[in-house]
Amino acid sequence: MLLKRFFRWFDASLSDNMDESNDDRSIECSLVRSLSDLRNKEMSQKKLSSKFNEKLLLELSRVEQDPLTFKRKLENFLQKPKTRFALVTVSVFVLGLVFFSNFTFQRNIITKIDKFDLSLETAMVEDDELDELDELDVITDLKKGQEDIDLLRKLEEYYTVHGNMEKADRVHFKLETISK
Amino acid sequence: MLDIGEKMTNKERELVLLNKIRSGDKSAYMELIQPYTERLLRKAIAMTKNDDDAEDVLQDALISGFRSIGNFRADSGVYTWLYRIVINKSKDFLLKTKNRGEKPISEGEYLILDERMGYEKKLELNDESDYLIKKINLLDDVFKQVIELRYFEEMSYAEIATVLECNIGTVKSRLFKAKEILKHMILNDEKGEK
Repeated sequence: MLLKRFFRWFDASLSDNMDESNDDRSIECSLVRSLSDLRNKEMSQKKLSSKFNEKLLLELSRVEQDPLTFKRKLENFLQKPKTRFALVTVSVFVLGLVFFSNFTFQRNIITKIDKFDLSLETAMVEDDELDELDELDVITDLKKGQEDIDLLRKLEEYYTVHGNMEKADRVHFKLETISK
Repeated sequence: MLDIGEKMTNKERELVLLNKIRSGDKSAYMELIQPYTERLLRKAIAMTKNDDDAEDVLQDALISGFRSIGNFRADSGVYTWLYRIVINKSKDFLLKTKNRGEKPISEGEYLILDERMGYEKKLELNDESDYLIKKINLLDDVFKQVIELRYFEEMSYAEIATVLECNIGTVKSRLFKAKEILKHMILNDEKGEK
């Protein structure tokens, strides 16, 4: 009979085709109700003795608070608004410094690259001039082998087909020089 | 007494009192703990099973709380913090009692509802509560703990995690399992009844 009464209240469980969420809701409700019932009964019966607060206050008057741990001191320090403001200011300054130095570094790099490019171009021009001195030797060698001349013709054709007319003209000029 | 404005939440009230206590105001500490002392006593009684011992344990715990209040981080609630201290002090008390050979204790005897129920036999609970609490008492200790902290102490998941020193996911999972087991127990009883 006792269980019957419980299940009447625990109505979700009484039905065979109740879905799971209803069961969950019912168990939740019954837990809340039963344990708050138990708590209320306990609260009504268990009371502190009348002198408890008096005794506690007397005991407290004899004790002092423990000193703060280093961790706690650090936390307190970091929680102060002034400290936070100072930290934010320093962080912004450091961030600005990093950005500025990075920008300056990049500019230096770009300048160096530009200088390098310039010196490379100069070097290439110088190399071309030097090549011209050796070119006669190369042409003399090429004149000796028909296969090399055929190869140069193919190269000229390749450059022409692929639209690299400047190089094609240079090869053509070489071929004319060889044929002279 | 602290003049509590209508808009002041409990958390804000506690923070104001904590600041006063840290600057040495002992009456502010009494004011801070006042809403919780009865509930904490209930817990101490449940563990020590003796009214006088429980009051001594509670007093010891509250003094210990006052000593260490400077290092208390207010992000966990005051009640949760004091609750843990009461549990630890009760454990110490039980261990001392055990060492004196007065009363043996077991590991799972600390946080458990059935001990409380054993002690509170005079409480006349209604049939529904009586039935459910008997079922809760059949659960494993880990499940009883979360049920007690959630529904008896009405703690949030975060507070339970603080008390049990585990993460919130573990609390949720234990609570879910506990309710599942309870549900099956009840449904089995129902089938038996039919």
